[in-house]
Amino acid sequence: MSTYITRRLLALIPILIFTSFVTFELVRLTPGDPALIMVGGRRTTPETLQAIRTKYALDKDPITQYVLWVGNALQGDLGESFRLKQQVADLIVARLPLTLKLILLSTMLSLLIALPLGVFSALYQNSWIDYVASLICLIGVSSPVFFSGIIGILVFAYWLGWLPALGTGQGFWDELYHLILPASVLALSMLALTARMTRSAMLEVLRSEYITVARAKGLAQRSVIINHALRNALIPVLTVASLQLGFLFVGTVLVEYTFGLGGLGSLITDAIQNRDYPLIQGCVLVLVTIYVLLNLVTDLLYGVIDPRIRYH
Amino acid sequence: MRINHWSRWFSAVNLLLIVALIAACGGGAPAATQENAAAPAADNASGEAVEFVVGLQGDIVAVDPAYAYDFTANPVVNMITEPLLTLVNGETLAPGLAESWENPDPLTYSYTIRQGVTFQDGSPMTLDDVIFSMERTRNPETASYLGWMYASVDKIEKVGDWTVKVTLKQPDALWQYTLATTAGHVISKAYYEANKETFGKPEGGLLGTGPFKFVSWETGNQVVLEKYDGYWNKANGGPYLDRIVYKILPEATTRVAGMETGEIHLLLGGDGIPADQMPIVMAMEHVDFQLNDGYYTDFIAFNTQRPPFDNVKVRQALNYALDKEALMQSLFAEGTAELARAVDVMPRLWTFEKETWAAAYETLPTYAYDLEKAKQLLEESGVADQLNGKVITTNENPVALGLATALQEAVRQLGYDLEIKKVTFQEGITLAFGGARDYDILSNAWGSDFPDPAGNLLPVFHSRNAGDGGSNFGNYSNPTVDKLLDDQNALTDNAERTELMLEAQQIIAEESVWIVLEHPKQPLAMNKMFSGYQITPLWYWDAFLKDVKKVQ
Repeated sequence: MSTYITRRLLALIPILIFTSFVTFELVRLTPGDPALIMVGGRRTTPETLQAIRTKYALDKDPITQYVLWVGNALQGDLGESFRLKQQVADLIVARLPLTLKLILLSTMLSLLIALPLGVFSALYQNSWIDYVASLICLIGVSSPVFFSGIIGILVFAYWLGWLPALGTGQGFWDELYHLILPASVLALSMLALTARMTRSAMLEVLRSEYITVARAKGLAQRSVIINHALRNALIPVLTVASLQLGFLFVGTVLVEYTFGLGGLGSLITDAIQNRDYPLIQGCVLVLVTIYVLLNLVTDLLYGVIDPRIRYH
Repeated sequence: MRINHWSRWFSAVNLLLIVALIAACGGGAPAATQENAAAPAADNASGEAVEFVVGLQGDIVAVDPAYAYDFTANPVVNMITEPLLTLVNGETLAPGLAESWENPDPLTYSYTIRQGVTFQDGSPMTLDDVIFSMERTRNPETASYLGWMYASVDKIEKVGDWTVKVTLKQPDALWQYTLATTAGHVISKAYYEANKETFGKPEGGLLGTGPFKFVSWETGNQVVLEKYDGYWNKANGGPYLDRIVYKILPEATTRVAGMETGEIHLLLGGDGIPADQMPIVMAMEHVDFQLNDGYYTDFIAFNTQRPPFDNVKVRQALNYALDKEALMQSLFAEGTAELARAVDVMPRLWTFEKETWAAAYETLPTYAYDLEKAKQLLEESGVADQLNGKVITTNENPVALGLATALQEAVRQLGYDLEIKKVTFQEGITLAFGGARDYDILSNAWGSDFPDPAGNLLPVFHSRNAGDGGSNFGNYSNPTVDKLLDDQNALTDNAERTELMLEAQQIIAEESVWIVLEHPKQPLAMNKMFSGYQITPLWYWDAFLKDVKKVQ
């Protein structure tokens, strides 16, 4: 088990080298001059532009720049953001917690709704429960986050006045109060896939012979559903849920934008828009690492759910 | 057995959540310290303290006047540090940290610094701080965004204990305004030197002489300032506000919703309140909505070095083909913009020799919609068959996009095709300010930073400014215009300057370098619980919250 984990973690190294190189060179190929963008659409002088280019080594060729960057990164220095003039690592450390809280909260909300929704629509297939669940999923999957976000603000902040329209809040409860609307919006967008996956996996499992056997043995319905059916149906659901967790890092971009939350999502979009090369680079490293770790955790969880799966 | 199964299933899901929770907590430590740091301030606010919330459309780049040259950093920095000179109504120069100034000859300016002013840590402001701040912004190595304003400065010298003498390399009429912008803000030299690495960043912040002091900056979320009780200039009674919170809200709909719910007290500028959101904010009963003239212009610039747009008749034809009045009415709510007449020097910018400017204005071509004339000019040009090209515009600016599509439609009426190329705001910057001038037509906006007509002529029509970082969007090069603009800038007599500028303006208008649409008004929306500021054309140089107070 531990050798398996070590092996998987070691695989992270070539992944990081590859992705960092590709990102590094790709962002330099996209149109947009970082020095001009840094000045922010105001007039400036060729001398100032030259000073900026020298300061950030932008006057060197992309390969040399990459070598310089790797050298610094190995010493733990991810460089300074072009636009925000702060250490990339500091910015990521400051912005990551909010995004993680948002993802945690919306994942909890979406699982709490999606799992029962999927189970019940499988149990009562083609009944009104199934149709209502389908409708909820359809609405969730087809309304873009920025749209449902604005509708949410309109209804809960503007008309009803129950929830704040924007910002993050101070302290645990205030923060929860501020994050509940953005997290719900995010949860709505991802519950469809999990619910539908649970439904189809449950339908398949419920038709299998061991469920009939379990029922024939006279086990209680609840026990059959939870211990025998859901547990076996959970593997594909887990795969989907972990994939979605990765996509959530993308989804938070729009939610953070709509609700004015300064998380990692808004940091990345700003970085890409402003051709903030060091910041893009730092964010990509963090995202790739999170993604790889997430996959590892998912693989390990398979083993917990299904004891037949073992890693060596 | 059953219990065991149940709990293992339960723990499977839980593990997933716990992993995320651990990650969140691990990463959460710095955020927690930030909250603690802000906690005492929050306690103060729970008493009688007045908190004022400003909605910003983007994060600030730094809390540092050397980089404060936009509509988000300036509203923050202007409250913390102050300029040597100030502008009254965005028009007239007035004393600031300099109590008086002299201009004995066109090359010499000397400023007498005010005594008894303290920085927010209680230390006195000295001439050393003033000169240090000016030199820092001027030094190309600082890469200050305002460094170009010092281009004509030869040397900055100390004269006695309280006077700074600025000597110019050549006369520069626009220099007089430089110290009324963030390029003339004074920072504490001692504070800068003690915090070199973190200065202007969230940990280091900024120390100035202004009415509010820096408290915290959570990047991407908010900036917090507090009242400075030892502020020197209490002439109007301010500062009144105990605490200012700037919330970073990139989505315009969210800012407007915050204005409606009362979570936001102030939005300002055309970026803060986009044209399409204005009617909504105007209709809010608890909001004081102000509009004032600005020095801004929305326009289309032809690349005058590229065929067929190097042909003046083609440019004129396109100008006549565009129905500017109808377009303005479709893009702007009633009264939020003023139709332009061929040039970007709008009546409000006639800050001297008003009658002369007004008389000359009447002689400018109007380029009023006239399709027949357009067709005729196009035929006369002899290059009508080459009429094609790309119009560069961005999605982010609805006016620029509207202008581009309207031009495309107008040219289609003439029987030709223009292509529209939408780029991101940042790619647009690269094209518009890049020395390569790699475009045919550009849909853009420009506004003078100074209350002087030259601010809307020199930077945008002098051939010297077509290079890297320059703002000559039309890539316009006319030796006569260059000479007129240079000559006026070397004079100090405004009547003589006006004559030369008018001559240049007439040529630029007749050459149809730009299609000039309109001049947008500068909006401000403030919750009626507060009052104390009227928006000015150059509000982004103002310390606009200095005298704002709670009235309800």
